Amino acid sequence: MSAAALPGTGQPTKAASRPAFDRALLLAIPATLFMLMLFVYPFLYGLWLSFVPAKGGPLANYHTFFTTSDLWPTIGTTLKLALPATVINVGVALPIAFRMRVRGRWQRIVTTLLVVPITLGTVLIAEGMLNYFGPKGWLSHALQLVHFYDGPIRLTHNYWGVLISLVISGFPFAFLLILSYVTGIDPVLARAAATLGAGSFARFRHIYLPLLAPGLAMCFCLAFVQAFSVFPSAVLVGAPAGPTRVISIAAYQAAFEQYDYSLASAIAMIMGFVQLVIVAAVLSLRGFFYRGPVAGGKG
Amino acid sequence: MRHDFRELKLERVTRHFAGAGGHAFAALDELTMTIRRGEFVALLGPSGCGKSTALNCIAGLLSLSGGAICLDELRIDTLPPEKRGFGMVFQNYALFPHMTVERNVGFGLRMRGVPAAEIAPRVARALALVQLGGQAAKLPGQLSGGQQQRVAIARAIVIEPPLVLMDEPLSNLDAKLRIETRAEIRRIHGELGRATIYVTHDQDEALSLADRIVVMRDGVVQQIGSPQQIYAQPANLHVARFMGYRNVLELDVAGVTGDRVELAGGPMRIVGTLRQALGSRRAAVAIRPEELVVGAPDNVANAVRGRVTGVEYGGRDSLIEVTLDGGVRLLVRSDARAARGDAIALSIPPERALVYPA
Amino acid sequence: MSAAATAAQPPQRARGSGTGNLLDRAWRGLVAGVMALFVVNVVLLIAAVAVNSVATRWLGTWLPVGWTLSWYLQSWKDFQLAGILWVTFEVVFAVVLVSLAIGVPAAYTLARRNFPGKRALLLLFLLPLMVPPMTYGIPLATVLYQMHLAGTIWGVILANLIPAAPFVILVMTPFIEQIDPNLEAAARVFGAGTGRMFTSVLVPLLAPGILAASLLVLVRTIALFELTFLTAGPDSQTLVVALYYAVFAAGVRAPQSIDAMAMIYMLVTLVWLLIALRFVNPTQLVSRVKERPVPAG
Repeated sequence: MSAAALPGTGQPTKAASRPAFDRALLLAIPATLFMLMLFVYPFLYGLWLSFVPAKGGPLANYHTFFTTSDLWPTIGTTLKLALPATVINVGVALPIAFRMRVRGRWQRIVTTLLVVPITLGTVLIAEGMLNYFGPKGWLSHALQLVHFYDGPIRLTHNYWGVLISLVISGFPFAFLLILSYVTGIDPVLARAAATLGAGSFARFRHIYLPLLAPGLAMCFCLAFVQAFSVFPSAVLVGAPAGPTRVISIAAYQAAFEQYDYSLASAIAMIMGFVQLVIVAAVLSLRGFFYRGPVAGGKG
Repeated sequence: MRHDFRELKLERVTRHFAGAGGHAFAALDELTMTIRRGEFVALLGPSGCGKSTALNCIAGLLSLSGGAICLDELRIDTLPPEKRGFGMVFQNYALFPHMTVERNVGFGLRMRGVPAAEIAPRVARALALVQLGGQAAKLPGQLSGGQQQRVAIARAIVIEPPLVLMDEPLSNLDAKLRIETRAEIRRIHGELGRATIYVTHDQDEALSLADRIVVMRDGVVQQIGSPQQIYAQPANLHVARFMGYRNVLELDVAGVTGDRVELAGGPMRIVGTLRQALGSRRAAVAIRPEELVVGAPDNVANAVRGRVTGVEYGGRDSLIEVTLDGGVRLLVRSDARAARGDAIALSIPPERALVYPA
Repeated sequence: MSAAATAAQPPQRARGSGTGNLLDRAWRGLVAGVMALFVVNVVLLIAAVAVNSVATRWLGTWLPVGWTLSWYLQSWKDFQLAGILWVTFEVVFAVVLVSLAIGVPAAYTLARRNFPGKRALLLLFLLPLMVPPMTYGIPLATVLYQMHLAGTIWGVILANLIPAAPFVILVMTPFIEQIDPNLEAAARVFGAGTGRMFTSVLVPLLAPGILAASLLVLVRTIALFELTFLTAGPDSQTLVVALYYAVFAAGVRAPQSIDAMAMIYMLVTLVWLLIALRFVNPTQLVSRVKERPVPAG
């Protein structure tokens, strides 16, 4: 712990006291080594492994992936779930977070209510959905009661089940993240805009939205990454053999059902690559907007 | 929205806030006053006196708990801020960090739907008025504090508001820049002749800028008057203390003749001028350090004697602490030479010793 | 100005534009409606699980035929929950302790020092939170299998540390940044040695942040599914993975028994969540990757 020492105590001048190596940097070494060993090394190992298939040339796995009919469509299947889910989550979370930006009792209550689904995790949500959204669940009952829809509703074991589960687990995350961005914007800017004649929509459009853009891009990326890696709900409330056979399922089956770690690693790398493309696209869009502090003037 | 008015009337404007323990307290209590066209009014008082609350109520950023605000015949206190059309300069400037100086200044005009062809020259004129002609393309973060301040002023005046509101606009500047910008604000007000309400806790700012000063304390108006009146004839002891009457002695009333009051305490007898009706036999006399005179010829009645117990050298003059024979301490600003331990006599001009109820 | 004078000459009241107000209200109503819809459905979803877990028989009616607590007993026996809870407890607390031990010092360095490669280091700590667990979990599981760690509790702990340690760093770095470095300097000026400085100044100042970070890691680790799923063996399952297998193999056991297990899982999470919410702002529960300008100097 001695590395936490401030340089310079007991030594004549600052220049002379500056050691060639700052011992405080040692404090970061355990964490750095840990991440290198357990995150970077496995990742690189996986990358290497994906190029040394059990049989065939270095690109055989990738060739297999893009030519096998139950592998390559998983990209599209996953995108078809992840993109709408992300758009819904961010799009709905933005106005709600914006309404909740004023500190107070409601903000506390609503954020607390919304935290619960995040911490319950996808597995519990899936189990709850099977009960509640199932053909004999309360929702189905209620809809039949008001004659809104009389047949048994089909919201589980298909595309919609997975989408709903992605919204339930992803929306609170997007909401809380956007809320922390919105509350980071100095409200005096909106007041200044109001005194200059900007109505509530104009204030949102000209002040909040441009200042939020970087945060929204970041939020979209994180929400997308979360949705793109959907796994337990795709199995439990989806149709894992067909319409919701997402890329995670393909990777999992390759690794733990066919024991082809090389192919599994290739699928994981493809998964990472697709995400990277989407994330890069969104972040480059952000370049059109302002980046910088969101406080007003100085102070 | 209009560009001019005859008078802005505040009638019993009141604003409550929820205080500790849930009970409401009045941050602003029944403020009644009239602001005329072209007038420069300063709201002056220590922090928490309600001056910013009053300004925010006028701007529409706070709703009223009671009372009314009228612009001529039009009642405006129910209008949202964007419909009032006043210009406002905020304490931290509140410049939009994502817009250039030009777009910041032009924001109010765009919100009013002014044609683009008209916006550019008006923005340029406003920037020239605050002497920022060359900075139009910069972002606020690239400007110094003083420049940001002037952008904020340009943004508020470019919309040609009937009323400009300023909330401690100089409090974030250093001492030298504050005095320069003060002169700038005075000049701009002179050129445009827009009515201005200026909130400050600095007496010098209020005295040098305002046509009229409103002194506030605990949400209540203490005195409304010209700078001369506020400076020379504070209406009560609070105003006197706030305006630099640093010597306040509590004494017994020995006699009243007209507006002259004779006060006594121990060996001291002081004649002062009555400023506020006395309610009891005790009274407080308030005297500025610079209005005490060092030295007392034998025939002068209003004199006290003591010893110098401290000297704070201030260049042209010094602030001398004198402990009177009775143990009371007075502060005197004088160019007379004095050293600790010197015997000293002070004479008090009766017309400058103001007497208030204790 | 007296009230009588005001009443005698009522000034005309200015009006805001009525349509604007109406639109505004409709919009607010819509937003509140969507929010209520979400919350109500989530509450009902949880209630459905709760009701089923105490139902004797519940098939296609509003409420079950009868009520019983026996499913909890059966679930406890069938799924060997005692063992699973113990494993969960071991994993979660090991993850919290280790992630604090390596995360807090690293956060201190990142908060207080500027050095070449700082941005790269930040990226290294940020990436595990940006890349979904499935992507790096599969290669990681492969490596752990080779090291014969997969399927053991040690493998599960190591895997869960990958998102936990960076999370501690991201929560603690801004927290340490807002502690005035002069306090450390002052402690030294008044003669505190490095050890004393650390125990008597830094630790008390950091305690609230450490508490918040550990509660957040705890709640997140209980709910983290993928990494445990990929690395756990039969004896090293945590509650959430056991629940997954139970739901996955639905039909083998009575659904009420599975729901009883789900309720136990939920109670475990909720207890810690409620404790956490007493100390933490809810927005901290999501990984904070607010872009802060890199401190100058």
